[in-house]
Amino acid sequence: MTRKYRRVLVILLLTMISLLILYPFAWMISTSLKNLTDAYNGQLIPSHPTFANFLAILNAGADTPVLRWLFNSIFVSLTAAVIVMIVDSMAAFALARLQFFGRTFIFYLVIASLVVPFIALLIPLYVEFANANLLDSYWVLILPYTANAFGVFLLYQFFLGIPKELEEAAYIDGISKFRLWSQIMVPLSIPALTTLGLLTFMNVYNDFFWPLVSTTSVAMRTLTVGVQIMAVGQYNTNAPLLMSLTLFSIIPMLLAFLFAQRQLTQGIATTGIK
Amino acid sequence: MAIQEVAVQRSIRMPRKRITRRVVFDQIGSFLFVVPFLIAFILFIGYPIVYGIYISLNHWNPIVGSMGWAGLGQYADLFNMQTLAAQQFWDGLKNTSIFVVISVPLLVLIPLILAFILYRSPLKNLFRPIFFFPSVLSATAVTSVWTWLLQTQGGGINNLLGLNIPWLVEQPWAWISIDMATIWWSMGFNLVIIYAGLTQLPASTLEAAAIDGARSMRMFVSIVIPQLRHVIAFVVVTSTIASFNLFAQSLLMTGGGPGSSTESLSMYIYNQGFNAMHMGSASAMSYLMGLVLAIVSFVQYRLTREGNEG
Amino acid sequence: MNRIHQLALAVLSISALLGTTGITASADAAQVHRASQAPMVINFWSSGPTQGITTIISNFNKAYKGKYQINFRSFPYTNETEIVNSALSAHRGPDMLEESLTPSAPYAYEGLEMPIEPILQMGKVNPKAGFPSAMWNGTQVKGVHYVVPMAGLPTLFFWNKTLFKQAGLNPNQPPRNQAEFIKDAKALTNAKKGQWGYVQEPAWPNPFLFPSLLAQFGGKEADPVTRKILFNSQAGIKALTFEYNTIYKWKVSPVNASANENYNLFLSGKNAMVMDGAYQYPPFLTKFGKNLGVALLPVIGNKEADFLGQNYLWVFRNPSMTTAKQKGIGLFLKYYYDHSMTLAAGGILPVWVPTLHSKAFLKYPALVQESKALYTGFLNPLIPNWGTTTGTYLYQDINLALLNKLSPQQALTQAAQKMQQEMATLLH
Repeated sequence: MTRKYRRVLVILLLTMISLLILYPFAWMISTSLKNLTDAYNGQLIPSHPTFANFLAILNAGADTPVLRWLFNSIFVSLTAAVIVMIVDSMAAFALARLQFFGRTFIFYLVIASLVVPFIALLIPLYVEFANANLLDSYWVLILPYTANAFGVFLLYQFFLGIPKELEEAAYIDGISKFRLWSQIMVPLSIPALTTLGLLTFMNVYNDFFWPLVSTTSVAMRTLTVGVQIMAVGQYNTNAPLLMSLTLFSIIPMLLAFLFAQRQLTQGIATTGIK
Repeated sequence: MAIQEVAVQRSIRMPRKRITRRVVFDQIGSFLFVVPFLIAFILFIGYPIVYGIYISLNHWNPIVGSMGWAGLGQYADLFNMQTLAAQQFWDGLKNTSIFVVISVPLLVLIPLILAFILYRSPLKNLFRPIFFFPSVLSATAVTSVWTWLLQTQGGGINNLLGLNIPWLVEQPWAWISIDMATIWWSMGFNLVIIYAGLTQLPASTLEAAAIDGARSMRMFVSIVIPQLRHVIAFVVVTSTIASFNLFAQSLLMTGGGPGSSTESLSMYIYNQGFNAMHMGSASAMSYLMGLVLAIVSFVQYRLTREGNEG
Repeated sequence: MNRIHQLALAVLSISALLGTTGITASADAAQVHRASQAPMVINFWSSGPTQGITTIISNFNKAYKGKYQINFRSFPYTNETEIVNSALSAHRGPDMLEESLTPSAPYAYEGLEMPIEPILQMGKVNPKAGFPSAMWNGTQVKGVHYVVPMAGLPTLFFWNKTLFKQAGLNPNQPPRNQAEFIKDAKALTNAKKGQWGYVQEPAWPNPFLFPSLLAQFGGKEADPVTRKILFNSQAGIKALTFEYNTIYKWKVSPVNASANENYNLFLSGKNAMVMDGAYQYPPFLTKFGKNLGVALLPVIGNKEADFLGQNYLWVFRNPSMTTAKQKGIGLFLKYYYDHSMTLAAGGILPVWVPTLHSKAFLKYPALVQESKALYTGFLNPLIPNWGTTTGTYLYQDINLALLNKLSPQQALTQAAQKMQQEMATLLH
């Protein structure tokens, strides 16, 4: 009986927290359905709802190819996320579980790089890509994100948490390091890897500063940059347009999250070891 | 079991004296795993950092490049309180620290507790996306909706509470507002990471913690948290770094006000580099900030990782 | 080892995939160039409004097909500086940039801008006859003109005629001076009902309003030549005291108004009068139509004066800058001004006297009102980033004064001291 009672309590608690979280979201939806002058009139339920802002997205002209931007964003974020998952898990595996000269040094170097603010790196990175003649291309939109020290740190911490017995048993079997990584560590860290992939996808998708600075042509913009340019004017913001574009632009990320749900929750217990 | 362990130890950790060809190959083999990352790291992080350090040692203007060697002069200026640069740097660091001190504990504790509740709750596949969802929004969208919600007269929250709180205008409300918006925005990020950490725990740990009542909480503190220490260390360090880089929330919600009380260090650095065009000095500020942050994170990392070990 | 090969292959194929897409994109760009018989490309970047300008540019490109091609790139106003400075540091800067006036100064002091008068001559643009004098005089750096005005954005007075009627005031008679303003504001205020005559935000729109009031009281912000701070004069104190009094003495404005409150409350009928930049005009007009009143600011001080928000254009001294390119820019500017009625259609105030005086312009009564300010208005002193980032200290201390943390005099004295120190660090 108490167990059931507790379940209800937990659900009630989580529902309340969800409502708190969704309250600003409700305002975003409400604003997206208003016209510019009613944007902040204090009505949560708009008295004259309009879909004009969403239609504006679909009828975008040549200056604002929203669908092209959407493709750019998905392509760039997905590619970066895949590369980061592979590269970072290999590096984190070696740093956390293998022995080699300079291992500790490399680890602290990677972590130390996280503390340098990006503002200091913007011009050096820009000049580097300008010299390589890669500005305004997919290269410049993807490559900088492939160096993801955050991910190495994340997976390193996760690999530390994987019980040593599992890999020791594997070593006894005479397995190679590569197979240890690909057949034991990777399957064991599916939730962590998925988390990294998801967060990388999201960060690249949402990044504003770098794609804004490094691309010049309309066709090479990402959606996040395009949204900003469309909705934010010199001194004022078109809030309904901003909100409807935002709602439109988060769809791929929510889909990615829902898609990743199963992997995110896959614990060691459910993975099993061959 | 004991024999196996010895065998494993030997296979990865050869005694130093017997460095044979095999060990060298073994080490090279291990090192190869890091190479792809290192290439990207050197090209897109390492080189820009070194270039940035060079800039910080020069009187550097974004347009003409170096306008003369400054050595450590621009760093020294940051310790000379007669200069505007030093006044701004320490003022910004003080303001940013206030934010970090409030936001980091909340950004770790709230997701930690929520993840734990969520992990064992029914309907978790419904709640998890809801908790995560604000993290996918852009800074402009987040600050835009919160600026409206927190408006003094007729804002969404004051209307709801029937109060007239000057959220974005007066202290301490301005910091509370920025923290609220930040936690709402980035809590889901940490929640997903901690949740992934929970999935790593042996089922027995969580079963022990699943027992009803007060014991559950004690189990959480005495068993679950220590076992999660690697993940918690990560979340503490990365949240601190992210909070130190506070920029958009201050700029777009309070405009740095009231007065200059929410003007963050990043805002000062940005102005110094791009508006005043003293990129050398701005880079020096960045690296000094990085140094402060490195010390803080290092201490945090060691404390969280090892403090719980016993 | 075999696995590593497989992985390497996977990475390679991803790179190859990226490569082809990248190459396709640049091939597209190359094709565009060839198709139009290699015209001279002029890069034009702007952080200003885009309404009307994009039309003018595409028409210019058609008219000068094969000769000149303007490539237009617009980006958010707040991000101009990192975009342009990154590009300049890699020698990829634009040929022309549109921004507010004072951000042009640092580039001018660095010797990175082309003198504009020879370029205007090549395009047969006569600046003295073409631009309102307030937009042309006082824009020299060390005696040389580097910038030309592109659009105006004066400070205006807006009122809600319906609320005026309800308060028993004449809806067609805006206040003309300080006494009338206070009287009307009091009549329009009902604090208990959350109904305000006026909303004085402690932060925005002071970068528009404070300079206007300061000038109305006969004061100046700073001397652009000697870089002496002047806003801490009696005029400055009077201007700030007026703002302060609306909140604390006459109580016609709420305490602690937050960002956009002035605008949001006006739109929801809770605020009757607004003094702000002309950029508020289009949404106000959409909302209230005939019930919106627009005028120049009432004379709060001793004389008429409105701060002129603005957008200017300048030409970078790029390595690729040639006489031929300058000619193209001159022709473009000529074309731009001749067709500036297109701007008016987009709701942007042209700054070309022949356009302002033409009959067709009368079709835009709102802009006709705005354009009056061009003759009584004034610009920021041409000091690097004055009023944008260089004004930070001033507006922080004004903020504190309007939150009742500092007296107006203390605030301005303190700000003047810090800004005088800042002046020494700016380019000169």
